[in-house]
Amino acid sequence: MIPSLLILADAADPAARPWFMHLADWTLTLGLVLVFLGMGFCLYRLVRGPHVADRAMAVDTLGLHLIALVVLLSLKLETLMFFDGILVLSLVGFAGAVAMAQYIGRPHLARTQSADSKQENA
Amino acid sequence: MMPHDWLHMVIILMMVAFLLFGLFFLTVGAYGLVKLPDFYNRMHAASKCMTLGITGLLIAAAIGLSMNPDADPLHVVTKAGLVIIFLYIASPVGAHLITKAAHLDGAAKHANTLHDDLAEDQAKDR
Repeated sequence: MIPSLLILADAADPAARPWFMHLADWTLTLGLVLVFLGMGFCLYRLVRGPHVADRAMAVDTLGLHLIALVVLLSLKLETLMFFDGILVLSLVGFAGAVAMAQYIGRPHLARTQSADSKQENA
Repeated sequence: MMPHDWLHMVIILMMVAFLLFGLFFLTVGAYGLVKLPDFYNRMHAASKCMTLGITGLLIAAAIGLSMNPDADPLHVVTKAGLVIIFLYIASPVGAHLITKAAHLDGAAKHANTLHDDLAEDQAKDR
């Protein structure tokens, strides 16, 4: 029987935990810091972005960082509760990307289509 | 020390390795989002690095959460695999849609851009 993460995490004596459990804990904390840093970078691009598409891309990337945050938190809290949320977040992020692409490209779509049909008629 | 401690150690170290792999690409991608000079370069950093980074984190979660006694390992691995497969399909498609829309909208190109094949093709068709 493999000793589980949960049992070791509940051990009352912290000195009894083996070194690799401490390594895993430190890596998870480092991961949370790095993901928050990445979210800060995304927010910078969201505020500064010179073009609308820059902001759309920043929101899309922010959604992916949210997935990473949920994964790290479910590893840290040792729960499967949030794991369904990952699938939902990735689906919503894709739908958002498609919607924002429509919003940006729609006004120009009519122009290119009319140019194409003119060429076909000529 | 427990009798099967080494197996536990190997599994945890695998989890940490995948976690560090994913975090590296996630951080590099997010830094590229700030550092790179024009929209198309930034989109390149965002879409590719993010996909690989999330993949690493999800594999780490599948390894780590499978050790939870309350969890069914098949359940966890299936869910993580489903998200990875969906991400590998959806992320390039979404990135391509946004980039195409930005190109139609005339997003600024960096001064050192060598080729714009789409614009050249469109000019040829017109």
